[in-house]
Amino acid sequence: MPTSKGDLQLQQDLKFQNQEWLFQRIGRIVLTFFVVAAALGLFGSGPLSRARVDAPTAEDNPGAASVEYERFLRISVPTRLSLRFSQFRAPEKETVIEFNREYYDSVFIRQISPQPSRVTIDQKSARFYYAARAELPADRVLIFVLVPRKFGSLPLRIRADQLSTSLRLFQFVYF
Amino acid sequence: MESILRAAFIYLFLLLIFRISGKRSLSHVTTFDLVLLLIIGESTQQALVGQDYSIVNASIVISTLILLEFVFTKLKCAWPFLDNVLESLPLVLIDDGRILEDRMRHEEIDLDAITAAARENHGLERLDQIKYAVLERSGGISIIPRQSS
Repeated sequence: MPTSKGDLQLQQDLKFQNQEWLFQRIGRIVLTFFVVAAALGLFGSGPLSRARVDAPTAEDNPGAASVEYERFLRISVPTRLSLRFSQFRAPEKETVIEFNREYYDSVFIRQISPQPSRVTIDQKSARFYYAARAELPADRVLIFVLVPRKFGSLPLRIRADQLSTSLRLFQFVYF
Repeated sequence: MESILRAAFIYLFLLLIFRISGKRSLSHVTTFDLVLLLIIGESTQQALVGQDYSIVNASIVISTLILLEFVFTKLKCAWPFLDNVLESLPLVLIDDGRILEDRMRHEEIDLDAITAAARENHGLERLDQIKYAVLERSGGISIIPRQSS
């Protein structure tokens, strides 16, 4: 609605203008926090995003196991999940790593290093089998390169025969 | 569905970000601003289409953006307040020869910008020849010169 300002006809609303300036000030502060949070890794790839979970191993095979992963992921962007064992239970026997099925269905596994000899999938889990000593890496690190396919919270439960408890961790996938 | 959501999110995000950046940010485009715009366009394009470079996906994205623009235009016509929220309002910067410095500071405009607009549009030589200077919704500065007696 045009209003007059002296002999000048224009729509000017100083109350609204003050609110707009306030909004812009707040918006610029939020924008700054957004960029700082991104730099710190709140949206992936940064110190806040990198995480590690340690788990005790079974009594009959002492040593630690840990998973290094990114807390915050982006959909369709590859991420690395490293599973490190201080020692394998019995390298001459089969070693089995198990992921919960929900997680397995939510990601596309682009690469596993080293490759397991076989993979089985049932209603609750996906299992990766390493049949012999030769298949296991000397540094006892298994690397999964994963591409998230669904956005939202992504719970992962990892079980291995040398772990007394399963490793549980959460990742969040941004759209 | 994903393409529609992507397009809608990007549309609303750009609307918000350019509203936060203020009226003047893109009205007076320098060479660097132009380069910046091209980079923003490039980043936006990747977020819009993702990894799907098909014609169908491009058609969905374009249709969504045009539809949103149409819907917002209709809504702005129906509710003038929404129009003000999204497009802002004009603001007088020089009122009958009186320079309103507080407003200019808020809008990050200096006198040089006003005298430049006066020179470009009316061939005015001095500030005292300006009766009104108005920062328009588009971010441009319009000048009304004093009537010469």
